[in-house]
Amino acid sequence: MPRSNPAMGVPAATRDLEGAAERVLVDRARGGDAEAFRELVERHRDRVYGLALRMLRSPAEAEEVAQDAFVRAWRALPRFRGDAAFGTWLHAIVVRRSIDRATVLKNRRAREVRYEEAGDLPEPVAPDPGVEGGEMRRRLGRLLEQLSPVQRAAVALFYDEDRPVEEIARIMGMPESTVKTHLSRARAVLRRGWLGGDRS
Amino acid sequence: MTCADFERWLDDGRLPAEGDGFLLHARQCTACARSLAAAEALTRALREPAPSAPPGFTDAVMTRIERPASVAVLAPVTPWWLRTLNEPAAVLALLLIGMLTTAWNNLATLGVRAIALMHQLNGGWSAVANAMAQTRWGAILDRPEVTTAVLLGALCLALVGAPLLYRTSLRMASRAALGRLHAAHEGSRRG
Repeated sequence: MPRSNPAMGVPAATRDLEGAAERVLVDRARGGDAEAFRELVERHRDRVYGLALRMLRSPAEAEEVAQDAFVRAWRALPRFRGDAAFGTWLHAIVVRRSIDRATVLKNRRAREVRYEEAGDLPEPVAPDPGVEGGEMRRRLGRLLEQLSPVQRAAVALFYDEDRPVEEIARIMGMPESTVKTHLSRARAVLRRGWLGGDRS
Repeated sequence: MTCADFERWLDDGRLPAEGDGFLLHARQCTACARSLAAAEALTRALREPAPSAPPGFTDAVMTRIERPASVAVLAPVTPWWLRTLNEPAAVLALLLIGMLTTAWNNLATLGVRAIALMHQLNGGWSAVANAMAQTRWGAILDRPEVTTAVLLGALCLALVGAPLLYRTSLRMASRAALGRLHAAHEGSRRG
């Protein structure tokens, strides 16, 4: 089962070393070292982009939000106190930006749908099947569209990022019980949608 | 064990254990067995790794970091009052204030003139008119604090009312435009 969380399946000593190296990079970047920040971007870009893509379901939007999150992180680095890991802090930025963007897109789509009820409904922007791969992905993408942006964030962090509920709560800035509720409701919606698809 | 319990168990995302009554239930209930299979397939699909960031991603971020810093920091931020003045609502508010002020002045003048006219035309009413001019309208309306208070009230009313009026008219206009588009689309479909 593929796991994207850097902590998974990595020996503790290696993990500590990576953590120390990252702290050094963060300190250098905080001092204005662009090369150190470039290294941080290289380390986190796939996970950040993946998270944004899971939430927004559009490669173009995901790329924009992911880039924007890094730019914001760079500007906010002097205020980063290091209470949480850099990755957790960065993910919190991505989640907030993605939720904002998803809300804007959802509202825009709702307005379009009101008009297009008279005619052809456009398919919501979906990832390129060639990139994402297969019918299962497309089907999952359609189901994820039914979730709220917050539920999508919780699902992406829990399944794709394999983060524990405690960390997701920290990233999303909400109590653990609320994260559990979002996950539970999302699972119910997805499962019913999946079963509905099986029947049709 | 009921089907509702089973659904709740799946919603909580708990892992199945052989000793659980849940698995026993799934073996006996076809609907719940399908739900379990769906949950498993979903988890598998959700755990599939997301694609990597597109090529050139890091360079694009670094370019944006170097470029917009100057734009973001040096770009002058328009103060709120200047942005507000640019709003059509602000223009509408100023117009409303002007109209209310003029109306107030006219009313006050008219009132004073009417009292004076009454005073001239009817001697019998003069005492009443005098009393009115001194105690009620004339005296009260002529007081500068009353005029100032009324003008301030009018200003507040205009500031609150004008944006509301503007937004309502904007909403009505966009609804009307949407309706026209709807009708045009409907017509083209039928045609």
